[in-house]
Amino acid sequence: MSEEKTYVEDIDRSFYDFRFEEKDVYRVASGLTPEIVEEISREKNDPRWMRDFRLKSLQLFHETRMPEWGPSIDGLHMENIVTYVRPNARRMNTSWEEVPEDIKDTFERLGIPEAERKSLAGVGAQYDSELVYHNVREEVAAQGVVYTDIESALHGAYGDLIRSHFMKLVPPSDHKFAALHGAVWSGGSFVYVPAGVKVEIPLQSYFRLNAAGAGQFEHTLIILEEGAYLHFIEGCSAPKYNVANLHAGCVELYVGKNATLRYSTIENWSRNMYNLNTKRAKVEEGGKIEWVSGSFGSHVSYLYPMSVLAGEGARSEFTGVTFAGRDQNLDTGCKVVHNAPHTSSYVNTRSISKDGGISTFRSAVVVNEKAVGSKSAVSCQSLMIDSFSRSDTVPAMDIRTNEADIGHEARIGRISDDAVFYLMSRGIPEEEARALIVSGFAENVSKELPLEYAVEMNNLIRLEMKGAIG
Amino acid sequence: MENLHLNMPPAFTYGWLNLNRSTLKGLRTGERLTPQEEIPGKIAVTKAPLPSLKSGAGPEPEAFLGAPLARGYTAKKNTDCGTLRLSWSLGDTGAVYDPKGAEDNPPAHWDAFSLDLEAGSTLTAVVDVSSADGARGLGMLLGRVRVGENALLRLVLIQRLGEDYSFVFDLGAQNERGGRLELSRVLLGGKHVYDGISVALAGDKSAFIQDVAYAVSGDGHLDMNYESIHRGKKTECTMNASGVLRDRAFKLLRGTIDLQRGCAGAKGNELEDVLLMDPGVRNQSVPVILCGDEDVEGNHGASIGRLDENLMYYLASRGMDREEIYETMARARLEAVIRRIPDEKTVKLLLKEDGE
Repeated sequence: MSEEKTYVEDIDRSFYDFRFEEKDVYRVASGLTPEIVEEISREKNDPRWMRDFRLKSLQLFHETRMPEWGPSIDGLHMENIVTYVRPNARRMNTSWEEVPEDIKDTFERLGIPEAERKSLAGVGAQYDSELVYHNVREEVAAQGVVYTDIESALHGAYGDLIRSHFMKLVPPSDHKFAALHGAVWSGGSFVYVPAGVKVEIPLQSYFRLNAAGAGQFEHTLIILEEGAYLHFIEGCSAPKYNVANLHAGCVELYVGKNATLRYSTIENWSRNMYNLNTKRAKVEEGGKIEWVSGSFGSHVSYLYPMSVLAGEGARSEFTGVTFAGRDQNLDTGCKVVHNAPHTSSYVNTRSISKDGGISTFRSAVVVNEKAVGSKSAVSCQSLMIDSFSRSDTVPAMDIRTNEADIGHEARIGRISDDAVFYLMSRGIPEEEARALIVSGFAENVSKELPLEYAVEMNNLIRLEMKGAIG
Repeated sequence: MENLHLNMPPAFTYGWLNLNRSTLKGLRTGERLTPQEEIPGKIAVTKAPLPSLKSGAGPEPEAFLGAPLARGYTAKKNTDCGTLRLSWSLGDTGAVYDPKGAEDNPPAHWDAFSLDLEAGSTLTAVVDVSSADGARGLGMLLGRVRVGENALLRLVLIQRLGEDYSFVFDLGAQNERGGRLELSRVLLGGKHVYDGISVALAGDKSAFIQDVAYAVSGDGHLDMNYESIHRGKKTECTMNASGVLRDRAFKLLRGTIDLQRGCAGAKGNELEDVLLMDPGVRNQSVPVILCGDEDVEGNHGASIGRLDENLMYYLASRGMDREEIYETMARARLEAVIRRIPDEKTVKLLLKEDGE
């Protein structure tokens, strides 16, 4: 006779949960004041316009109310957050040998240099508030592809381009944490792909937050010209501390006419992290944005990549999986705004909740008057592993033309006993059977990832499901 | 003059969409309305405070009316009570309600009723609200319903309003063990219409079946908040809504299936189908499933937009022009719901109004 289920064990996160003594050479005081923002601006050697931009954003942060609709972020106290920490490294290196030993060891453990050698066209690695490593393959650079840290680009030949695009898609007035980002952003990547250039193998940025009680506010800006192609991968992790950490990054993607950008994220922040990230893409005529998103970590997440379909025939695809375990409240989803005729969007998500975790799928599809002939299909499915957890779906649709076809479906349920019984009758132990079913449930995302990342994601699911019966 | 916040769903969405609540501005109370009643002999009539139940529009309308006494109708235990009919006819009050809160906004004429079905009883209740030709004004009707153990209530809610009449309807219901509420809702016309229905499935194996049809045209504005709250084990709900928007009509439907912890074996299904007829229409939908228990099922499906192109092609090949096809399909959607109403008199009335 099987024992009644009494609890669900938590994941072993020791793989990501290593840390080194903080050897940062510089950090600002905790809290958020004009003096701190000016100090960051001086440290970054900002042009005047950027300094003014930061201060205006800070003012907006103080004026903007907290959202009334998401998970509680009462445990996040901005007066305790250190918004800028510069590690003990040269600002940016193009060789791993120049990176300080402890930081290099961090990224070695995370497998970044190995992935660079095997399967990537370029890598950026951020440690706390600064990019410490950036490199791109010669043959890719020879095509005119620019992949560098955003501060270097700001001061170099691309300064005007950055000024004309920086926080134009996500203005600081967008919401409270966009304003915070505008005030204290630091680090991040700039990618420029010229017209017609197809980058056949992916670029990757990895963000690691090592300092306790710190915030990471990197800015990623990617511009694809007409007919270009790029797959960009973003990864993130941090060791766990018993104080709150904050990630409020910002990603702005400009997808040109007939260009395609795939943006993949495997997010695995530690469970003291408040992940309040903003991602947005503007897609021109015939262009396409493909979001692939796996959310596994953090204590609280607000994450809804947004696609603005600005040109006729522009397309958006969002494929996501969210896995919420103990002490996690992951509020994820996406937003799509159809602003031009014959645009289309397709959303396919899976959520899994266990061990008291809360996952919420939240979405918005807006079809404006001009978007005649547009189509949208949203499908979200949620799986409850136990009765201590929660799973909610909160989709919204705002349709302002009759010349549109909009479909939506949502489903919440449990693991089928029949499916578990079938697998067990084939000799598979119950725990493994359940893990297999959950992996299959999340296959919509794993099949969209490069093989190495799909394997990592499936390992994460297997770890999460370990002890899921007891 | 007061402002009312109503139709707040149990879970909020993004603030920039402005879907989390609706606000009526510049309100003042008017006269209490009196319905025409057809009361079967087995129904006991009382006057008592409104039962304290969560309602779809929320607590503010009741507070605004000063916690009024309700016309109470009680179906006695283990009795088949036949059909209760309540009809409110709204007259002209001299002004059209302005949602911006104009000084000369009409007073809100109002009434309140409650239905109490004791254990094992059965009742069909038809609640009909209509306005006189050309009438202008604002009305408000509160209803509270208790469906006792193994009782069955077939509740038919009809609204037939002219284009200058605005209305607030607020219903709260609770089903005890094995209680079943079968609700048919037909919404035709109106200027600014706010429709809130919340049903708590408190007892095990209780059920809520909702079938809604609406047609909004001109500058009509229909704002709905529907909730099915599952607390009892093996509770079930089916919430269907089918509608047609024409001209510059606006419609917002918030529909929530709330599967609360402890409602093991519960199932909730919600389906929405909206036909958009003209370029100026606007449709907003927020279909929410909240889930706090493992052993449940929640499903939602929505289809919003034009007619299927294959269907259009088929009907066009049979000699129908585009306008004719849309008119036919729009009428078919409404009639499909109307014909399912379990009261022949109401079906005939509505089919006559729909032009049959």
